Amino acid sequence: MSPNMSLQSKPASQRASTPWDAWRDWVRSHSEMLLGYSFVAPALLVVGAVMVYPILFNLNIATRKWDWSTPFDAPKPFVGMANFADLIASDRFVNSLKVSLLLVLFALLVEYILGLGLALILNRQFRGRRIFRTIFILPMVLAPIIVGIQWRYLLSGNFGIINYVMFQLGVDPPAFLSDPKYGLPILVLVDSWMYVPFVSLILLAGLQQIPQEVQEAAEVDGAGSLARFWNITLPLLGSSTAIVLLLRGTEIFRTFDVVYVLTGGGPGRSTEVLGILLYRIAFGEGNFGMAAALAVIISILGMVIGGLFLRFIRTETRLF
Amino acid sequence: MTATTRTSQANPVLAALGLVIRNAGFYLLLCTIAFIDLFPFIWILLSSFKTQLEIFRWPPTFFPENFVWDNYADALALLPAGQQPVSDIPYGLTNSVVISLISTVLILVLGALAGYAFGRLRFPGRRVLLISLMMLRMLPGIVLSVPLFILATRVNLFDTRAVLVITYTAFNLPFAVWLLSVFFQEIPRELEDAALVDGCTRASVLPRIYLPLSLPALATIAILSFLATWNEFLFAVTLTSSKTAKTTPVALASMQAAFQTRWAVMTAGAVLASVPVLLLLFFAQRYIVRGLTFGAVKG
Amino acid sequence: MPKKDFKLNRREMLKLMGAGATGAALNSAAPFIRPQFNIVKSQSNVLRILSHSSPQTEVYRRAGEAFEALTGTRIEITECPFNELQPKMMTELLAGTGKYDVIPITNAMLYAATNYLENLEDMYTDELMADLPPAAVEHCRGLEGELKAVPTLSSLPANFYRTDLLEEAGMEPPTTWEEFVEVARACTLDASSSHPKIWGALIEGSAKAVQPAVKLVGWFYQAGGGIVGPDNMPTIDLDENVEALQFIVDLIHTHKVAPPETAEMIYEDVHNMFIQGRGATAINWQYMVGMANDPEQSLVVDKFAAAPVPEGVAKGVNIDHWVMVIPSDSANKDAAREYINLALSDEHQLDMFRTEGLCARMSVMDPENPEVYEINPFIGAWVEEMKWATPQPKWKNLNEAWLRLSFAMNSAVTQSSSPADALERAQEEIMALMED
Repeated sequence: MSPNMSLQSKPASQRASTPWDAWRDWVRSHSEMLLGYSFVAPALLVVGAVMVYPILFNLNIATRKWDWSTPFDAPKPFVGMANFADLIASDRFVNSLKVSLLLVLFALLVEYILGLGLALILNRQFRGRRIFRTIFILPMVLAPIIVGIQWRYLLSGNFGIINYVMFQLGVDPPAFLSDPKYGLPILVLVDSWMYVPFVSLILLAGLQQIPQEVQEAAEVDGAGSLARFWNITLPLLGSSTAIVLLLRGTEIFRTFDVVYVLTGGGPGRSTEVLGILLYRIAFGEGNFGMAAALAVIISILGMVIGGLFLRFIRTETRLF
Repeated sequence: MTATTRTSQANPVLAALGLVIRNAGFYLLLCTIAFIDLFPFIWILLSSFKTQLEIFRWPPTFFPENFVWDNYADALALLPAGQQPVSDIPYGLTNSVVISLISTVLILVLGALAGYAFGRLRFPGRRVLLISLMMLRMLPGIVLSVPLFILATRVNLFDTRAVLVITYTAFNLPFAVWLLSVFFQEIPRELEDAALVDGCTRASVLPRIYLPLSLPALATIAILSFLATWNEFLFAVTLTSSKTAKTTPVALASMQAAFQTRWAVMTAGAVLASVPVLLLLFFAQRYIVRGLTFGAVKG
Repeated sequence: MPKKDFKLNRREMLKLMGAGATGAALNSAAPFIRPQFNIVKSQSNVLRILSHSSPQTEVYRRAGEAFEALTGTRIEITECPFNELQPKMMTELLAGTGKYDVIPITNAMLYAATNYLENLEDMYTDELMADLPPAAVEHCRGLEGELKAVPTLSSLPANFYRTDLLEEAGMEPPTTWEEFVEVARACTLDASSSHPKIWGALIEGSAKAVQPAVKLVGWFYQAGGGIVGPDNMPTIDLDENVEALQFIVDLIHTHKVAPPETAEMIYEDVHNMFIQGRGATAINWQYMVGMANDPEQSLVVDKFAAAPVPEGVAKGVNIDHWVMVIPSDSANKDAAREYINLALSDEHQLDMFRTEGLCARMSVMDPENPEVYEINPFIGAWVEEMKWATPQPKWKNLNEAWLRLSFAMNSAVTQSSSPADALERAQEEIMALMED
């Protein structure tokens, strides 16, 4: 990038006689830098106040006992790593970790398979493309809260339409929202309902980048359609796959809204993902210290999982 | 449609029949998926015209017995004098509109300034700052809920619209800055140089040259930011407590925590809260798709 | 920016980490960790109340209007949903917002061993003391016996039943467990074109809320069990309690007189189903009387009655109370006391009785009084129950304990564990809570 001529048109240093002149000259010769800093300053200020400082503050809270046992009018005592130790030793944390990881695993699997199928189907010219795309995107742009309400309404045991239809078909409707063994499958279902179209959108973009000639050459060579899919399409989709898995994986790991309205972490603790656990500890039980510790653990886990994932994808697909 | 013409030359009648059957299967599949995607919302829409009694009716009615507008009147507080709405949805809608619009404007302004600086200006620390900003984007919001809650109470911003505006702006800025910096870089530098020769200052090329050329990117950011702030729940529920600041998603969710869940009014509120989303989906779908896939395609 | 630009070299990484560490170190001396009070400018002429959205709050609002007319102090009520009240109060007091002067709650904080709530001993006159059910006064005592709250509303479940359905089945209102099962069996009707499935018994079993546990302990008492042993320690896993929980599980899975959805039901689902005519009996609080008699929302107007809950080997029910507390960080404690006194006056207690079906002062809800009888024709059932009702246990983590117990009940009614195992686990968990 070339230095900008218009900014350096005045060789200023000779005339710097007073401190004020020197200052002015310095400003002139550094105007690009100063402009840069003043342009990024407002954004950095907001991000610093809302994201960076709270991260540091959170570390502080995590090392303190801040709950009902500390009097309201005294500083909160420093307890070191005790919050972390208590948390990791608790059954709830282990359970939530398990639920979160299982959710990521199963939801990714379902979403990827269905999304790929949908992308393969949609990878052709057809009438009404636009209207179908609009409909397919709808679940993703609706507020997660509304999605949760919708499904709670549909699946309700007392007046849900799904139960009624199953009843009419002669099937004894299972208690979707009351039976712990349906907890996780329901979350996978709803998350897939929301995001399969997104996954297929990205994979479709990837499919359309595969040169037609490659496919045709393979066809000439006598490769069956399954073999072509397995040996050509899938590997060439590697980068889209990597991106979609990474994006969805991190998103699913932080699921909160839908679970909050749909199951609230229940039945039992079957859907108490890490986010819900944190919310419960902080805003249900009033244990800020432990919630802050959990926040630290969630951040680290998120980073580790993201990093491992990235490394895995990198070695598998040799893309980056 | 090239395949169509090719096969139809071979055996017109048979090929056409095959095509119809194959296409029928294809469209049947598409319609099934569309039905699955649409049905939950349609069900909510129909229920919003039922009375609370009809919602619990056995057997359930598909179409409302009589279309009643009471639920919407209640959700919009268009009630006869002296009657109070059963939920906070009217307040939630007002708060949501104000908060989302102000945040969107702030995100655009701050994002354009920073995006220009990161994309086109050279200053020490630029790369590290941009990468740090990108890393912050990966941070799950729930991680900051406790410190933000305490800080908000300490600076007396808890339960105000302002705290949500600031929070939303911060959380949406990294994406906006990144997208705009990438976009600005793709604008030929010669345009800027020519403008500078014509007497523009470094600061004024941004509004004169860059912004007019990046309207699609700005539209994408505006629409995505609006959707994100309109739908946001986590901070809205942790940082507000009363109707002075709670947004529509919180008003809806807290109806489930109410002493009695008014399903009829709740479904009406859910429909109302989806109206802007649907409008954007129909009229600005291009930008939504571009924005959602931008991260994936450019990442 | 090309992709390789998006990687930090080692030096940059170290610099960033260094900056982070410095920030963290500086922050450990941050000012925000210290308590800070009355950020909200206290106004002596405004009294702030945090309450949940319900008819009860309207009673407090009307009392507030009277209060303003008397003293010139305005009342400002912040409303939040029922199930969010306690968490909201807890977190706001913990963060020290100093925003509220009076909070009507049930129990969440009363037994916290700390000084977040004002001592209200001085508000109990002999007269008031004599007029409150002993369980209510006991409920307001903290762990050291200090009085931290004043009751405004007693709350205890009764057994609602459909007079028409019982009559059709030729049954009398149940008074014992055996009769309860018999009635429920006789009144459970399969769905037909004219009515949905009608369940014999509607009870709560959700793990999400505390209320199912609160009602469950009533069954424990009826089986001869209990939840508080010597030294205030929990006795959740007594054999009698296991038997009571087994009884409830049997209602769903053996007798099939309670819906499988019991596992997701709270009081609200119970009243919804009952007023939709989908249950023959329902265990619920007094508020359901007014609701079931409201033709706007109820299909069972004048077709139901309420009786004391059935007895097993003993009579037993758990009594809960709405009480008013004054947070320690309030700046308006004197006005708050005056307001609470006003809310306890005859006029506003009668208003409470009219609105909620019960109130706190016994003299106001005299069944002999025709006005009282007209408002709640079944008041006799509740007055009878108050004679043998058991107050809540005094555990400092009571809210959490209830949640654990709800959870145990839920795992039993969903048959994910046996009642004995579920209660044993609840016992362990609640013991662990007490040790904190």
